[in-house]
Amino acid sequence: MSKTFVWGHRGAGFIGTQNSPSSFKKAIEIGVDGFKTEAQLSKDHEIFLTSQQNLKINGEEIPIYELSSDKIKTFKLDNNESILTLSELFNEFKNNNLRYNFDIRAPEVGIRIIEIAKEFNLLDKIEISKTSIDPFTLPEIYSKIRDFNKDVVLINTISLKHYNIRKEHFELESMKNLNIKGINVNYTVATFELFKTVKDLGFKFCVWGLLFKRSMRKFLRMNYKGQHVDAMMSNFPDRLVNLRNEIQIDGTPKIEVLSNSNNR
Amino acid sequence: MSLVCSNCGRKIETVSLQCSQSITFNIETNKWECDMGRCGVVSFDKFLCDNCCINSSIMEIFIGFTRLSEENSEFREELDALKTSVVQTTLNNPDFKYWVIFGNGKFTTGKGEIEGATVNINCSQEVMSGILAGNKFVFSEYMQGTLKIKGDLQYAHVYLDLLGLAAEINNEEVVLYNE
Repeated sequence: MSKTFVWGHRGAGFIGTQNSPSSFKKAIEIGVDGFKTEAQLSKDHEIFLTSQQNLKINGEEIPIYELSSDKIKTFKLDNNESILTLSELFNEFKNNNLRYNFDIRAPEVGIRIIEIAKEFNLLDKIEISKTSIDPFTLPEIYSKIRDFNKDVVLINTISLKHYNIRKEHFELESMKNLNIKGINVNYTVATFELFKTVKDLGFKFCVWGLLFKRSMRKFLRMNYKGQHVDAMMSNFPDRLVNLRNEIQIDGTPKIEVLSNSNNR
Repeated sequence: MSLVCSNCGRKIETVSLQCSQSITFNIETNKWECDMGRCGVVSFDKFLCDNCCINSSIMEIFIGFTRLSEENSEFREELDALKTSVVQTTLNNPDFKYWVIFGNGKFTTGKGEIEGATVNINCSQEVMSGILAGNKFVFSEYMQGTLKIKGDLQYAHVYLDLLGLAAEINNEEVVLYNE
């Protein structure tokens, strides 16, 4: 049975400065299986890895899509490093056998990611996700991308406005038409019932936003018909990797009852 | 006779049924008293309107979380892993402010305003009560615009998740996650 895949959020999450080159290197030391971060397109069609849609330059907030690569490179992160381009990330880690997952907010960003991944022969290592906060339907964000490339892995992140997630929130018809492989949900709304539903439908089940050991243990112990939760993303990837390696030792976790002692 | 809230001074239009049916005179203190449910037995010189009673309950929950941070190793371990952040919350309808400092192993709280807040949260008393009671979902309220966040958005989410963890620890449950 496959172990749960661990995504380091923006590199090593809360350890160091997110999305900085040193954070991605730290995530490798921690032992993550892949990186999950946000991608933005510059004016000159370069992909930059940052959660920010605007950069404050000389006191003015400017959208990244209006800035050239040269200008973006002058922007310094909190640790004084520059924002990475996708090409720099691939160049640095192409030999590390990692996977990469990118949140996008426009189809053009996804198409450019595919072009760059092809240049590095890494198309089979990337996944593209919609965000949890944008209102797009699956066809709105993914149709152009699927027309451009039939193989790239696409993931359906369920909107944060849904807290009692049901099948009708999946856009199942579009998921089938667009060959979308997985469903990604915030850990606060992910349940065992939802996990079973997603697996019964034949999709990968991914959980994002895990912070605390309690919830990490809960999801790492979930087991349905011999399957674990497929992937988890955390801002504390070190904890998640360590717990995953403790709990999913031989890939066949035993049946356990979670008893939450509080030591009071 | 017109009753006013001893906390905010508003005129009290109605009192809880429990209270109105059980007013007693305490001969030791020489004061009228009644049972105000969540707010305990109160004398008429410490009479709270519904709004102040709810705000008082909200503060009690946060004071409980401070206690939890001192007594519960799991909660403290999670606080140890987080950097110190200052959260200012403003409830409206009626206005009420309180703050929380969490991280580096500590969770402290108090009424009023605090300087240096890295996160500012603004919502109605009803929304915050619902979140704390587990009847409302933080992200859903945020997406609907009924809960507004300014400042460090990521750590605001950490803070709100932390409240959920504290509530979960307080309401222990045994769950089976294998089939």
